[in-house]
Amino acid sequence: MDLLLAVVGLLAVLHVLYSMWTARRLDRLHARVDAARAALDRQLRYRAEAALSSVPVARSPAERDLVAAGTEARAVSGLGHDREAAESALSRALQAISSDVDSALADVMMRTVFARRFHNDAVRDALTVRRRRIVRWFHLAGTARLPAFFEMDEATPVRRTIEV
Amino acid sequence: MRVGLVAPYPWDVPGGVVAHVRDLARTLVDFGHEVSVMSPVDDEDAELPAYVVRGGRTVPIPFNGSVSRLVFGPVSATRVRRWIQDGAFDVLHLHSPETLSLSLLALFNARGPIVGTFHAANPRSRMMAMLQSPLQVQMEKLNGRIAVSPAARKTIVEHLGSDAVLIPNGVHVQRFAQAEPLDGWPGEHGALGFVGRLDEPRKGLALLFDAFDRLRRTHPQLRLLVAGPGEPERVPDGVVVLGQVSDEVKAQVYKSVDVFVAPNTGGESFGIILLEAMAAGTAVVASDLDAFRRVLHDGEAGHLASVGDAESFASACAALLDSPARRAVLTTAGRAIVGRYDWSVVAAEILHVYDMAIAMHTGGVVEEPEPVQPDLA
Repeated sequence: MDLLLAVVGLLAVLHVLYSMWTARRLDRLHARVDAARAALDRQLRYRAEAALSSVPVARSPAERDLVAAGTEARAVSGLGHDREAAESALSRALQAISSDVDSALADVMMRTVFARRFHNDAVRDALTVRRRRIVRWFHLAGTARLPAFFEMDEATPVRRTIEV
Repeated sequence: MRVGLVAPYPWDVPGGVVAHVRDLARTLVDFGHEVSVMSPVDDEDAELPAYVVRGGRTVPIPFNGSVSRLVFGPVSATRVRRWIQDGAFDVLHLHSPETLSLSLLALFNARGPIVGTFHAANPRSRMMAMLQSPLQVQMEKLNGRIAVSPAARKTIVEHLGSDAVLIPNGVHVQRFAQAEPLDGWPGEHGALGFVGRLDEPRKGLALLFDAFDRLRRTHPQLRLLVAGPGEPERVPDGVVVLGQVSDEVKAQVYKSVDVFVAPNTGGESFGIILLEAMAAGTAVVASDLDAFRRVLHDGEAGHLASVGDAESFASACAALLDSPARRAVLTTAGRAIVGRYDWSVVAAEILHVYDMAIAMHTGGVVEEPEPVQPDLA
């Protein structure tokens, strides 16, 4: 009986230690998601500004599309589905002129691709731990919202090269 | 920007990852950034560039048929922590952090903007499978992950359940484009070239010797120039073995031959040797491996021969040796492709990754409050 109690006690202690460790790990993961979200939000905003300032006067239909999409993207805040739709439209407008964009805008486009990938990496890492049984059963995530991926069409710039 | 780079393998042992770290460091310095590299160094008397800090010596551990060189011990952890503290880096860039190496030790002991580059293509690594869960916790500290090839990316997707952006290896295009051929090469009777470990079966030198023997029947004065560390099992007539050479001489080797041959039979994540040959303007015959096929744009910039098939290599080399026009088609395509891999282009992309990692933090890199010394020594 004493042995049984000791074993149960030991398991309980191990469980508490593991739970505390996992809760701390989740805290770090949520903090990383929040930081990545803020960075992505800023980067998307830079992209809309850069797209708009690259077309001082819209002459072609493609440029008018870009100005419309850039203005629309700039008007939406948060990282919800409406933002995803607006940024996707901006990506398509950028992709349509991607062979013509100047190097400053190309850099912003590439950085946006990276920022979104790193954001979604952070979300994936957090979700992997959030889905664990021990986390769900013992509410180790507390009140933190379930992180969400940011899904959008991407605009990839033509990668630079040097003359050989 | 203040950048801290960590190399996983000894600085004084030639290898692809260390060469990548060195070239990246030099390029960033040229761009005007402050760079410090911490790397294991095996030889206490080795001469090091000013930007390299010794991270201790490595201990060879046989594992899974090859030898891993690990660097662990209280001394290393203390050094890493002091280096992080003194460096006050804006960003820490770890190479191959998934290996039991100085890179992982630095990851254990640092927090802040941290970027990791994954070099290896290792679809069935027992080491990584075994260490998956403990590694995953550490990998969560990486704010940005880079894979140098689709194969390397696939490896981390499968083993670590995470993703990475693709930024290829770099090559100093001008260094190879402007190198001079070695005296007397390539000569008028044709010359083939090989660069790589001479005694590593997967590099395929034995296969190339078989192909060379066949070629000598139709091209009796053909020569083959071979550079790289190790001892070949045999050296056929007409083969010139240079052994391990400096970077300068290596660049000259590519310029000294009519056809560069990459007979590798597997295990290649990227194919940097092909880019070097393309930068030198030398026609390429390479094994039809995924990594090589990709770099050569499906054969547009080099002939793809059947993997492990000496006859296929012999006939491809013969066709190119006999036709300067066909070589010119390949080298023109190669020059157009290789500019995209120049270090100036690649390093600029890596700097974008640094900026995006830094954007996720309010401060720079600091050491973890508690020293972490994994019990692996």
